[in-house]
This record gives sequence, structure tokens and C-alpha cells, in this order.
Amino acid sequence: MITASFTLTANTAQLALTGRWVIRSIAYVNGAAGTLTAWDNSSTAATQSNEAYDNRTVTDPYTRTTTNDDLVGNEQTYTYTGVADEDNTVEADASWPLPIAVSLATPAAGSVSTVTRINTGRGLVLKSTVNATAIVEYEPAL
Amino acid sequence: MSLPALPLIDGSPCLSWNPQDRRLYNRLDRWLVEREVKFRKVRGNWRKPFGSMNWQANVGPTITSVITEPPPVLRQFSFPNRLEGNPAKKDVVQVRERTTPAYLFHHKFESPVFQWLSSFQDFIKKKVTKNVDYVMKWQEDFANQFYRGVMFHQSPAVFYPDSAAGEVDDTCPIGYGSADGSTGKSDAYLAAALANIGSPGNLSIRALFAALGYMEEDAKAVPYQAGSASDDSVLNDKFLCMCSTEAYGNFINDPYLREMRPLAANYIAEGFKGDLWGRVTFSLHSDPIRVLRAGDGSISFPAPDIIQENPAAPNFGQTIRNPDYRAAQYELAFLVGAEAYDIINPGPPPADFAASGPDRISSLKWNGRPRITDRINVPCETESDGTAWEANAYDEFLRVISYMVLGIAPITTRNVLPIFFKRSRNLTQSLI
Repeated sequence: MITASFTLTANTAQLALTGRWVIRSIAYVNGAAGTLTAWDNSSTAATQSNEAYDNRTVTDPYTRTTTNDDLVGNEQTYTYTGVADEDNTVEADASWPLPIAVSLATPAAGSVSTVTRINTGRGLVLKSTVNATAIVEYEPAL
Repeated sequence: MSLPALPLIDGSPCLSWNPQDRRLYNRLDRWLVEREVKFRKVRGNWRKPFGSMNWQANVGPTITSVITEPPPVLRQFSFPNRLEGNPAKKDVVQVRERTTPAYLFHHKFESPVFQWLSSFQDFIKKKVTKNVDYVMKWQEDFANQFYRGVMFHQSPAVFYPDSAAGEVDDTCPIGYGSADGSTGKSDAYLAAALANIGSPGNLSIRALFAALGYMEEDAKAVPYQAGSASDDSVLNDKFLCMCSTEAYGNFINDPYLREMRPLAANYIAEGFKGDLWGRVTFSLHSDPIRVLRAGDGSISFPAPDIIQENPAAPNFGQTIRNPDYRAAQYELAFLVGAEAYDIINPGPPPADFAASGPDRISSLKWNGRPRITDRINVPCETESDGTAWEANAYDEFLRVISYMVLGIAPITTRNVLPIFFKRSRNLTQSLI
């Protein structure tokens, strides 16, 4: 297990770790009320540019009717009720926010820590709303 | 040290040191030894867990399977009328049908053109014959990659452990996929979906349990029953998890397993074996589908292997793991129930093309059996620096060729649930 300390500047994202790591715990120490957020990325960007893609939406309930003649020539209307999967396009989003892995907050100057199971795919980015120190325990994932 | 020219006559009586020139005589630069080495056996046959069906010739390019669907369960309680003074209400039960199409696909496989001179003077003999075996192995890999690709792109749901958007995505796109990643579960879709996988996000026992719950309760998937698959002695009333050895081996680090293990279990010496909850058993396969996610969020599917091409490297020419494949953060496993797909047997080629005889040089073969052919056109540079193509009239060249027709018929695609997860080998509960 490796323990490292990172000095954070207020409202400035910092790429603390790069690569595949399991983050076991994070301690947040500051001199004023603040919030620490962490997310998985290999740069300090908090967003990702997503291209448009197709998926499906479900219309529930969905009703359709058809007409047909029965054997003796009477026109019958048939009603079918269920759900309907329909094609959908998710529009491109150039600033799609990356999910936050963990968020810690202190109501006043002090420290707070939490046990985590963050499994980074690209790296660990930390950002604090105030000047602070983050102490991270981690080990290799691969 | 200068020595007198040899042979020497009338030399000095004190001449005593006259070593032979080591480089004077002919010798072999190196002694070549052909060695047979064992390679890691490829695990996983994607044909065995599924059924098979025969293609019928002369009925068009598409087989459409018609399946009778049971009527839906439309209530949780039933409230019939009391017998005295009340007419009986009436239920009308109607079954429905659904159809699912299947197609045939084809692909060709070839070796480079072999020249007789190489076979005559190169060290390793019978390279042409040996190449036939490698083309056969390549084809087996191709078929497995095709089958699992269709299953992935055709699945109506995908499981993403610890995803911020919900672990089961049952609105994922469905298609046949394409080399450019624009159809089926497109690269754009996966780039967005994989970004939502949280932590730990690995193929944990908890994740498998949640996936099993979805399969049984929501997807209404059917487990394997006795007699429903080849070598099915362990598949009675079970689902099959097809995953890599890395994912399976990491179960011994799983916190759920550690908490629930029998006290006598010795996972250090014996590892983790067997099934989970009596409901899920495992089939391990090599070269699983893995996804590399770049810094900008875009994804790629790196090739599993690559060749060392630096002539100065000690392992020059060796097939090694592709560094991008090793770095891939995500991997795909499949949770499989019964009767999801049928592997199509295309049958023989049309009789007119498959027949051989005195009027035919050869015949159409599409069963994927590699064969050696000398029917090659050879380029020849003309006097005007053009290129003319001549038949291989002098039989100086040979080539290994193979033609494969294959297909897979979706039956009940929801009986296969792809599980995309973050790779990990080291999720231990270390006390250090």
C-alpha cells in the first residue's frame, strides 16, 4: 500500500495519479470549510466530449390497431397494447461531465477521511474548493 | 603482433608463437536447431455452449425463424366472481409469434505465395505444410471472434457494474456491428457507457449476483438444462459465465468470497474452483474482448497480439502481447443461458460447383478446410516496364487457401448478457 500527500490549490484540479490504481482511502485536510471531489481521468478535465450515438427508448404504454376481415367478411378492428422500443438518438455532448467518484466536505477547518474502493481506469484527479491537503492510500490495480 | 607469412620456409629457429588464423577456414556462422515450443493453449470454444441448425439451400438468402411466444402474465392477483348471483368473468388467452432472421457470411484466408527456392535452401523444412496448420488455427479464432461479436451486438441489454447510470442498460443499440464501430453497439455508445462505470467496477461476485438476478427475473432468461449443450454434465439448471482467466482468478480476492468462504477452504494452495450459488458455472476463454479508453474518452479494440520488429531486440520476430491490449482498462464477459443462439452449418456448396471430374481442375469448397494450390497468376515485368500476368505454368509457386462460410442464428438473444467491467488483478484487502 502506498500513501501519498497532495497539496491542492483552491478550485484547481490536480492530476494526482496516472494509470490503474485502487484508491483505498482519502483524507481531506483543510483550513476552512470546503469540498473535495475526485474523479477518474488522465487529465485535469472534468468533462468528456461524447459523440452522438443511437440507442432505444421505450414507449409505455403503446397501443396499435389493425383492421382485417374475418372469415365471413366482417371488418374487425384489432387493438394490441404493450410497450414499444423505438430508435432514439442521443445527441453529441462536447462537455459531458465525468462521474464524481467520491466527494468529501468539511463544515469548518479540519479533516475528514473515508475508505474508498475507487478503481481508476485512467488516473485520479482531485479538486478542492479551498487550499487543502489530500492524503491518498492506494495500490496497483493491474 | 605481426606474424610471418604462411606457409613459411627457412624460418627463424626462435620462432615459436605462430597461432593459426581463426578466420582463415570455412565454418558455419551459427548452428541452427529447429525447436518445437509449446504455446499457451487457446481456451474457449464459442460453438460448444450453443445449439446448431442446418442451412437449407435454394430457399433464399435469409432464414427466418418463427417462434411461438407464450402469452404474458397480466395480473398479480385474480378475483373471480362469486358463484351465487354473479356471471363468470372471462379471460381470452392468445399466443403470439415473433420472427428472427439469420444470414450466412463468408471470408477467405490465404498464406503468402511460397517460392520453391525458399523451400530448397531455407533451414526449416516443409514450411508450406506447416502453414496449413496456422491457417486452420487462424480460422478457428476468426469464427470464435465472429460468434461472440454477433452475440455482443445483438444483445438487448448490457451490464455495467457500479455504473452511475444504472447497472443494466436495456436501451442499448442492437445490430450486427461493423469494423468502423458505427453500427450495433457503436464506439460512440460504448465511450459514453464505459465512462459511467464507477468503482470498483470489476467482475465481482456481487456484480455477477446482480447480473444473474437481472437475467432470471427481468430478462426471463432460461438456464441450461440437462442435455441442452455439449459436455453439459455441469450445466444442469445453471447459467454459464464466459470470462477470462484473469477475471476468474481474481475471485480469490473478492471480499464477498472471503467473508463467506468455508473455514477449511484453502484458496492460497487450491485457488477458487467450482460454481457460484449452484447457479453459475464458468468457462474460461483466451483473448477476451478488451477496450482501451484514451485520454479524450474515445475507445478502441486493440489487437491482442503483435510482433517484435526491432532487429536488435533479443526476441526479434516473436509474437508478444500488444502493449495496448495489456493497457486496456475494460473487459467483456458473457453470462449465457440456454437456447440463445444456434450455430449455422451451411452444408455443402451447390452441386454444380462442388462436383469434380475430368472436365474440372478443382471444385468449390467452403467448409474452411485449408488446402495448397498452385493455381496462381504470376506477375512478370515486360520489356516496356509494364506488368503482365502469367499462369504459374512452371509450378514455381504455391499458396495455402481456404474459404469459409459461416453463420449464427439468433434465437432468444436476451439469454446472453454481456458484462463490461474494469479489469483488475490486484483488488486485495491488503493490511499493509
